[in-house]
Amino acid sequence: MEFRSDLVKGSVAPIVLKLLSERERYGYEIVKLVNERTQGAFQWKEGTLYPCLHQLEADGLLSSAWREAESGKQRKYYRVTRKGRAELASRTEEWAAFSKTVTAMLMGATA
Amino acid sequence: MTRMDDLLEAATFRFRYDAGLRQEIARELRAHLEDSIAAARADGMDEAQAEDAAVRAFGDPDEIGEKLWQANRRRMRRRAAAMAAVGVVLMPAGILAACWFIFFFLDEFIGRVQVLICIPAIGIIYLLTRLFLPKTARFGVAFLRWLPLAFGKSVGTAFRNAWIWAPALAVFGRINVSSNVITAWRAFIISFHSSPMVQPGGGIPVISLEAANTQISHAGAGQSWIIGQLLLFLVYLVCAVWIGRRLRSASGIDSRRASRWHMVFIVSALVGLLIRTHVLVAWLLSHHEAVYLFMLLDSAHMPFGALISALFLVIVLRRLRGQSLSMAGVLSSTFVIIGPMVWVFLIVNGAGGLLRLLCVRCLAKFDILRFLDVSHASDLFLMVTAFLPVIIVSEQCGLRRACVRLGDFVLHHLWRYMAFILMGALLLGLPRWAAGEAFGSADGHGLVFLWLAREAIRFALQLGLTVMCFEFYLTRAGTFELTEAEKVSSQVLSEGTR
Repeated sequence: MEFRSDLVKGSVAPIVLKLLSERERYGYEIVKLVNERTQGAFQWKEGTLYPCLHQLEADGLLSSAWREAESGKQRKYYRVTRKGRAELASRTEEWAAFSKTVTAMLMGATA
Repeated sequence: MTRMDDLLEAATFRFRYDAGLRQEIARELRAHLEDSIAAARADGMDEAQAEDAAVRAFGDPDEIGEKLWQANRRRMRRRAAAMAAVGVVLMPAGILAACWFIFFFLDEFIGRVQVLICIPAIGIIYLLTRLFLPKTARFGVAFLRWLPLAFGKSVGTAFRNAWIWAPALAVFGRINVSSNVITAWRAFIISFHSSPMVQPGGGIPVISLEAANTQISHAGAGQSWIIGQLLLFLVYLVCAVWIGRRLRSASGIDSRRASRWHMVFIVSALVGLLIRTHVLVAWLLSHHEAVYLFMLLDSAHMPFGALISALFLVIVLRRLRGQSLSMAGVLSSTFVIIGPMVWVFLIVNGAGGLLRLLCVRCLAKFDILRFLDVSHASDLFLMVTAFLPVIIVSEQCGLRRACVRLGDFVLHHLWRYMAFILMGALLLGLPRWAAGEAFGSADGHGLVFLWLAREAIRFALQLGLTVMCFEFYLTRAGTFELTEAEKVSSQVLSEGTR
C-alpha cells in the first residue's frame, strides 16, 4: 500500500531522528533502511530525505561530519544531538497521541 | 557533462552565490547517486541504464533544490553575515593598523625592515579571520602543494614544466623596465615580480615604468624608455606565441583555437598598454606632480587588469578541460573568479594610492629616497591586507578541503618549496642587484637581502593566486570533487614532463 505524500511528510522527521538515534548513518543508508523496514510501503526519495536532514541539522537536532566509510568512500554521516534525542522523545509521544486520536475518530473507537 | 552533473547543477543552482555550500551539497547528493548507480548495476543493469534509473529515481532537481534552499536559508544567511563581518570589521582595522605601523613607526624609527612586518601582520590577520570564520581561515599556504608539482623534482624538470608556470607568470606577472637603468646602461631588465595579491592589475602582461621623478625629468630617459617599451612588447609577443604553441601541443587543441589564444594574449597586451597610457602622460608632463598622478592612476587601473587576466585564464582552463568557449560560460566563470577581488582591490588599492600621495606630500617632503621608502612600504601593507580578500575568495571558491590537506603536504615538501623560492628570488633578484637597482637600497646602503626576501614573497604569492584559480576552476568545472581536479592537474602536469 502506498501512502499519500501529505501523510508521509509529517512522519519523515521523527523517523529520521529515530533511525539516527540507533547509530550514525548517511543519506543513502537511511533511504534504503526505511524502504526495507516498511517493506516498500514508504518509498523515500532524495527530495524527501535531504531537505529534512538539512532542516534538522539547521535546527540543531542533528550534527554531521564527512568520514571515510569501510568501502573507502567519503560519506556525510549524520548523528542525533542531545537536543535531537529530547525532540525525538517529544515527537514520539506526540505521534502516539495523535495516532490514537485519529484512529479513534476514523474507526469509532474510544480515544 | 553527464546527466548526473546536469542534475546536480540544477539541484544546487539556488546555492550559486555560496560556492562552498553548493559544493558540499553537490558532493553529498553525488555520493547518494553513485550508491544508487552501484545498486542498480548490482541488479544487472549496464552503466547507462543504471545512471538513467538513478537520475529518474532522484526526482525533479528543481523541486529538490528549492527544498534544500529552504532548509539551508538560515545557514546561508549566517555565512553571508560572517563574510560581511570580515569585510566591514577586519579590513578597515587591518588597513588602519598597517598604516600606522608602517608609515608612522617603521619609517620613522626602525628603518627599512618592512619585510619583517609581514610575519606578525599575516599572523594577526590569520588569527582574526580564523576567529570569525573558524572553518575557512585555513588558507595558510594553500599554494605550496602545487608548486613542487609544477616545478618537479629537479631544476631540469622545472624548465621542462615551464609551459605550465610560464603562462602563470605571463598572466599574473608584470614586465618592468627601469628608466634609470635604461639611461645608465642602455639596456633593460625584464622581471616578472609583481604580486597579484597587491596588484591583480599586474595580471595584464603590460610594460610598466618604475618611475621616479629624477628619472622622468632626466634628459634622454624618455627616448630610451620608449625604445625599451617597444622591445619588451616584442619580447612579450614572441613569448606569448611560444607559450600558446606549447599549450596547444600539450592539450591537443587545433590550430584554429590556438590562434584565438594568441589573440587573447595580444589583445590583453594592447589593452594593458592602452591602460598604461597614463604613464606616458606622466613622462610627457616631466614634472614632479606627474609622479603622484602616476601613482594614483597606477592604483586605479588594476581591477581592469585583473578582469582581463582572469578572462584569459578561464579561457585557457576551459580549453584544457575540454569545455565550450561560449561567451556566457567564459564570462560567468570569469566574474565568479574575479568579481569579489575586483571590488576589494579597487578599494584597497585606491586607498593605497591616496595614502602614497598623502605620505609623499606630508612626510617625505618630496625627497626621492623618502618617496621610494613610502612607496614600497605602502606596497607591503597592501600585500599584507590583501591576504584577507584571498581568504574570502578561497572560501567562495570552496577550497577548504584543499587548504586543510595542504598542511600535511607542506611538512613533507617544505624544503623543496623553499629551495625553489630561493631559486626564484635569485633569478629575479640578481639581475637587478647587478645593475645596482635593488629596491629598498636606493640610498646605496645595499639591503639586497631584504629586497630578495620581498621578491621571494611576491614570487610565491603570485604563483599562489594562480594555483588557487587553477584549483578553483578545475574543482568547480563539472565534478565538484577536488580529487577529480587533482587528477586533471596531475594529468596536465605529467603531460608537461614528457
